[in-house]
Amino acid sequence: MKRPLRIIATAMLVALFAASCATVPVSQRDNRVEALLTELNTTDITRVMELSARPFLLDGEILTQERDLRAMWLNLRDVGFTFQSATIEELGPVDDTTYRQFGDTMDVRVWFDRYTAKDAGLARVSTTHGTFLIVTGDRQWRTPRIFGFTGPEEG
Amino acid sequence: MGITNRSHRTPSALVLAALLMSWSAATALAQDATVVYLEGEPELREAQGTTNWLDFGMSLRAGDSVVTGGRDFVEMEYGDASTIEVQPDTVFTIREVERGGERRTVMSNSAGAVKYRFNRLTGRHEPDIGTSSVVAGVRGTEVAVYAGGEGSSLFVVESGEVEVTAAGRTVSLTQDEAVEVPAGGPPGEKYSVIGREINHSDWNANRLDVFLEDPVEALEGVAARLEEYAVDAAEWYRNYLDAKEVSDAAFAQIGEIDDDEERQEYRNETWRPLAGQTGNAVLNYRYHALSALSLRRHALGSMYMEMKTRNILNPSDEYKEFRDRFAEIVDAFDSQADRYLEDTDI
Repeated sequence: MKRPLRIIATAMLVALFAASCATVPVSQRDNRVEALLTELNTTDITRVMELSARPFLLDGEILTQERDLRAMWLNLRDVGFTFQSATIEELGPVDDTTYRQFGDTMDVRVWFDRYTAKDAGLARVSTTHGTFLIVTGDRQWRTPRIFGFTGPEEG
Repeated sequence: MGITNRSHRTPSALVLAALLMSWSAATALAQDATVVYLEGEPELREAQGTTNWLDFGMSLRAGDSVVTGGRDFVEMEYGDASTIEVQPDTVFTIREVERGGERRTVMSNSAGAVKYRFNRLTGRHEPDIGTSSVVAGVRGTEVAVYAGGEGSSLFVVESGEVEVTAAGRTVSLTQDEAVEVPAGGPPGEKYSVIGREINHSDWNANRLDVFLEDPVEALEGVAARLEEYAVDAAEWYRNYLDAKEVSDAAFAQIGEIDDDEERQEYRNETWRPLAGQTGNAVLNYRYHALSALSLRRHALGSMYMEMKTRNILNPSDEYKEFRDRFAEIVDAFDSQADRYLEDTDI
């Protein structure tokens, strides 16, 4: 390939990469959500708390207090729960009907309306402990934060 | 269960005007709690639902809450000489309610611990204090109020007098006395705290142990209290509808009076008191509904989190029983209390 063509091709690739970065938020990218899950599984509770938004949605319950959120992660660690061997089955933006998958209540509807991030994503994640729905959004450097989860799905 | 259509119960512009009128009158009498010291990054959640960092000099008004994290602490001055200390991991709220024709301030913590020191001032009413489960009257008092994660409450009096009433039983406390009140139940026997060091963290850990021994029974206590709030909210809502009808009719009458002086007199002597009654009814049904929401959020929610996370891998039969009963209670809450709540309350 001649040099000018090579430059143009490289420029186009860079532009394409930049465009994809601009259009798909971190909270809706497979590799970044995988990175979040890895951190949630392995890092210390202080870091896990940094990656957790408040108010947090656990199934249909809104946890507003730092103490409850910390207790949640500590309890999960104590019983040996992690999002182990996580595979992202689906990942996309949260929409107006997503709340029903967590609970068809005023609490859950308003939580999705008021407390999720503008770039909120919804991931369906299968793990060795079952399948979970995880709400992501915002980010800390290149890692999205977790806003809530429900699961494991039954049946 | 579905999303409630709330448009029919939005108070009319007329009622809102009446509310504003009665609120502005009350504001002239009510005192704000002003932040004089803080540590960490406590939050101010305002009545209209916005959340901001709390800062020195900020004032809390009826409907506002202070939320502290594990390293936060807030001291507020109330009136001329009273202080309120909001301890870590606490949700503290100021509300107003009308009782016997009188506007009362109610200060409560639905989670965590708050210490009050009220210096009685001539001609001024001390507020009622409590948790999302129980409210107590105070008189020239230094008292600590602890809220348990499962809806129970603990009152510890350092000086003065406190009257704790719940489920039809009243216990009077004086210096160095304490009493526990289970959610939905009457106060227990009072006991002396002389020589006993009580802190919220240890007490709450003990309450968690008690809860885990029989989680379904603990649920029943919260359910009973939620039901009481629902009954009270429904009653005041009916009062509001009745008062509004009469007030609206009186307002319509104003337009039919030709004489300016007579119209002004009718407005002041007839319509304003009716509008005030309507505003008080709104205040009261909202008070009961918001108290129920606090209990649902900080006691029920906390109980669910504890049970869910401990049973996520191997759900026990006890957990399944808890989960089923929990779902019934939440359904009942959604079908009753939610009727009186706005999105900004959530």
